Amino acid sequence: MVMSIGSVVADSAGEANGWPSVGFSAGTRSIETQALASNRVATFVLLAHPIGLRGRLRQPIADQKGLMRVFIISHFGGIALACLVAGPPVLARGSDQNRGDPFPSATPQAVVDVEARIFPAVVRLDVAQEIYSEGKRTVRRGIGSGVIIDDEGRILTNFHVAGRAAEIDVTLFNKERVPAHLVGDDHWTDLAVVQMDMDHIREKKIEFKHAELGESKTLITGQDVMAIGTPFGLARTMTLGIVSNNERTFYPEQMQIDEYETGNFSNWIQMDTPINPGNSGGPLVDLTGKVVGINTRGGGQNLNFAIPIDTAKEVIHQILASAKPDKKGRVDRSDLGIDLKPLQDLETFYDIDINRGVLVNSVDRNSPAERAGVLTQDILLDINDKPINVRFPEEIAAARKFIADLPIGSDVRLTLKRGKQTIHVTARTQKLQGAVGEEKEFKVWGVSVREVTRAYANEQQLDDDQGVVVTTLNPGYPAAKAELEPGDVIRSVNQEPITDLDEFKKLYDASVKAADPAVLLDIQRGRGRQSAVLKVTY
Amino acid sequence: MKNFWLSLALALVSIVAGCAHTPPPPPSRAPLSADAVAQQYQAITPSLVAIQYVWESELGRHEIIGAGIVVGDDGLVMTSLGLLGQIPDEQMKDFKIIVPSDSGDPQELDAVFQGRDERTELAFVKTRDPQKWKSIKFIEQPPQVGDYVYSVGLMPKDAGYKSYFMSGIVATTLRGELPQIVVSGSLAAVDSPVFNAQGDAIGIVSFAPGQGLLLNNPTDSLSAVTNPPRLFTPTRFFQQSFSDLPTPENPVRIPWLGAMQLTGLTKDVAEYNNLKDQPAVQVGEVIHDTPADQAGLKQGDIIVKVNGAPLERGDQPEELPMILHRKLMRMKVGDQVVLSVLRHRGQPLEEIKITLAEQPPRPMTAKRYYADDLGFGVRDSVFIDTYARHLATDAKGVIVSVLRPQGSAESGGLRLGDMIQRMNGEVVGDVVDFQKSYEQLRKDKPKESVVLVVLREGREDTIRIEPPQ
Repeated sequence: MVMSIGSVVADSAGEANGWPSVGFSAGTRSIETQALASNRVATFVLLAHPIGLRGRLRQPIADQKGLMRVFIISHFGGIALACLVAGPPVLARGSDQNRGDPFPSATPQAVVDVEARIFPAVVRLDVAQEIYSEGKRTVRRGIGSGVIIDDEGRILTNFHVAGRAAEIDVTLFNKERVPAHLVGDDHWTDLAVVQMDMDHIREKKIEFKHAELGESKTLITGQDVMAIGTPFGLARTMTLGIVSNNERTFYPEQMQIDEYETGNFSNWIQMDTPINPGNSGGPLVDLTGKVVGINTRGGGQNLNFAIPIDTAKEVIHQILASAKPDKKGRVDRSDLGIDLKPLQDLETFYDIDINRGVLVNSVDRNSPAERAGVLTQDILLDINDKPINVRFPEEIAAARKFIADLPIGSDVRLTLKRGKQTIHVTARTQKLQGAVGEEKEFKVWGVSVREVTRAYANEQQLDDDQGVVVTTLNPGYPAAKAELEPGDVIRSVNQEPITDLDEFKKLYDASVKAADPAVLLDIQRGRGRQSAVLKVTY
Repeated sequence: MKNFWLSLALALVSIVAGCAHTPPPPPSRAPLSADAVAQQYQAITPSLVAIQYVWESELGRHEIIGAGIVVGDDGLVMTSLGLLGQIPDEQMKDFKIIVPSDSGDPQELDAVFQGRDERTELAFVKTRDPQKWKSIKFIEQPPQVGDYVYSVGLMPKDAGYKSYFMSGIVATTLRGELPQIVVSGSLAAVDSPVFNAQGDAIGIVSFAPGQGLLLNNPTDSLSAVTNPPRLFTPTRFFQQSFSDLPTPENPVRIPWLGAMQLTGLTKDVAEYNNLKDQPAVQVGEVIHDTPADQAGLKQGDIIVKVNGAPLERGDQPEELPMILHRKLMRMKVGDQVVLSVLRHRGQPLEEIKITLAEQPPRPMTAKRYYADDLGFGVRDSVFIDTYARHLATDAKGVIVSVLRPQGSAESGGLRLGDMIQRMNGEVVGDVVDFQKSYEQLRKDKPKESVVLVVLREGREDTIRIEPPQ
């Protein structure tokens, strides 16, 4: 049910003398395209005009069925991705908060103080992201925001701003430009860590400050917060608002960035602080100037969303711990292959105590849970004898995170209620994989392909995860001329079966080396198989 | 009428001439004179009627009226399948045949639906009481470019079903999934008969995007006149129906192989397999336990010949599977068909003998039940449902076929196409079982929610439907 709408505005002309001159080209056109990794339709609306974009932002957020538009607030080549989130807003439950504690409020002096503290730590990021298009690896340029988190020059931002970055340029508060590189990223939480070139900083004697990371779980609904960032390329923009809700969930919608799943393991801070495309990755701060969230999505009007800093702190830690000079840092998680569903209003039906257990709504094929014998409609009560309770949708993310935090490859004891019986099964966790597998370009054939992951195979109802899936095609090249289509799974090359991307690469290299004039592919399209012949000239 | 006898006489003359071994004189290719037009118009008009029925869906009743052609003197009328669409058989009610009248109100006669013929894309309706009508007999006559063609159709209900005359010249013939003849000029409304200059019925006007099928379209009643059709289907495509007419007792049985996901070989793939210039079709999937499976047809096999004859050519490789499909549809259940297939490049063709079975039931013949109180309807799961969901053919469950907008079921999250597998924990069987347990459940616990487990896009979901309190 996820739909993405990408609003592409012409790239801003970049910063001259500190102030951005935002240039937009004229003309508006729209295309429709089928999302590759899903059978849901994704509509990309190209809006090459500021009026068009602003018009879109002003759209009413709720249409007749309670649909709400949420867009990612990057300014990417300037792509702003939006998700349509269906369903009526869930009732906000008050979190445990001590209303007696005073919190710093937005007096004029406090606002000015915060400005002085946080501005030197907020940066503008000009990023070239590595993407695949027309069968080739290429880059997509965009603008976002970030916040410096330590004196070693590390920057926290969004995955959708700096994830997959090939080149990054940082502009500091004092308008100095510093080259930077990606340390690691995590699409599940939409976060990325970037490192400024410290040699450059020392050599040029550039000054910067870092922000202090606060705590998000103690945020109180109604508390004043400020957002700092680069909306529409307008660097160092500060806006003020309040926390509207500290545990927003979009359950059951699956949000996406391009085709990457996101938002599964944490709730959102909802605030009415105005943010716009380009604010993405910038800090949301409280009135002591501490960072409490990373501004990530806008819903138009006054519904905006930030990733809680508590989530970000864990992700930063794991990215830094796993990053090596030649390898990007990442966050590894465990997976059981269970779709959990809140039990609200179903307690009587399943004859369970209120606030106990979580419904096993669906079990993925070939997953650890399936192998362990977990069945749809079981009630999952405990994992390793620790209770797992999900009554409300707001509690889903924490339950998913509990599973994700289990050691990978470990045996876990699941306590299940099935009908009137309570049973125990043991499942071995597996490393969580998204639907988007590793991607490579194959220039001679004019095609880019991806590894078929278990998640992708499940989503597309493929029989297994063998083969590689076609993502993009270069018109006029052999693969396009052989009428391959995005979504086709290549199962064999010259009758040699393809298990994974490495195998495909090997056969491709061999074929190109031998200058094969004709290559026979076995293609799976939908349920059927068919042959395709690539006619290659060298 | 006069013209009819004239053409019959001409036909007899040509037979006699044929016997005498002298070449028959080519039929005149001159356009009809004004008098002859008037004669043809007069002769054809009595054979044009309208077919009316009520589509009684779960959400309301709709009256549907389309064009019909009298093809049996006793009251048999044909129309195209398009007029029925995918409407379930059990929801088509109150068939009537409307006979237009110049002098008074149109006459409405009770009629009985005879059946669909998917091979020829026709449907038949017959008056309840026998009639003494003048029927139209279709003949096969491949039209040549430049031939004059004429068509008489009925104006919409709003215009009193008045008949009208159109004419054109054959522009070209398209080969493809369905043969079509392109006309420069105009034809009468979709499903009207098309004639040559001799008055022989040689085809019917085809449906094309942008054309209206209904004679009671409230939004654009005159679309067929303001935007006249220019394509017709020649008799050879639908002639088969007349030798094997469907009746309520004996519906047309369509044969099938059990081979799915057929693709036409592109030029490059054909050449790679040394099949240059030979139309061929690759089998994408063979369904378990079907005639094709039992006979040994395999996924990936390339069909080159049917009963020893090469496949018919299409204009595009994409058309080949449908051309082959239509060819097979025209055979009979129980017939043996021999497919010559290429399994490996460079190997000789293998002959696979398959005895055709009847195609599995279709959604429109599936049994249905409408749960009016919660606003959702279900039907039995048929082959295409389990196939599309990657399930075994005998997998249990019913398919959600209708949802009342803003009804309890829709608000609870039920969606069209969901396959309901369990209701309140019990496994769901077919529609009859479902109806029984559902009605019992609603009677016993009218205020309690109904909890359904549905299969949607390969995953289960749990849906709770709260009844109106």
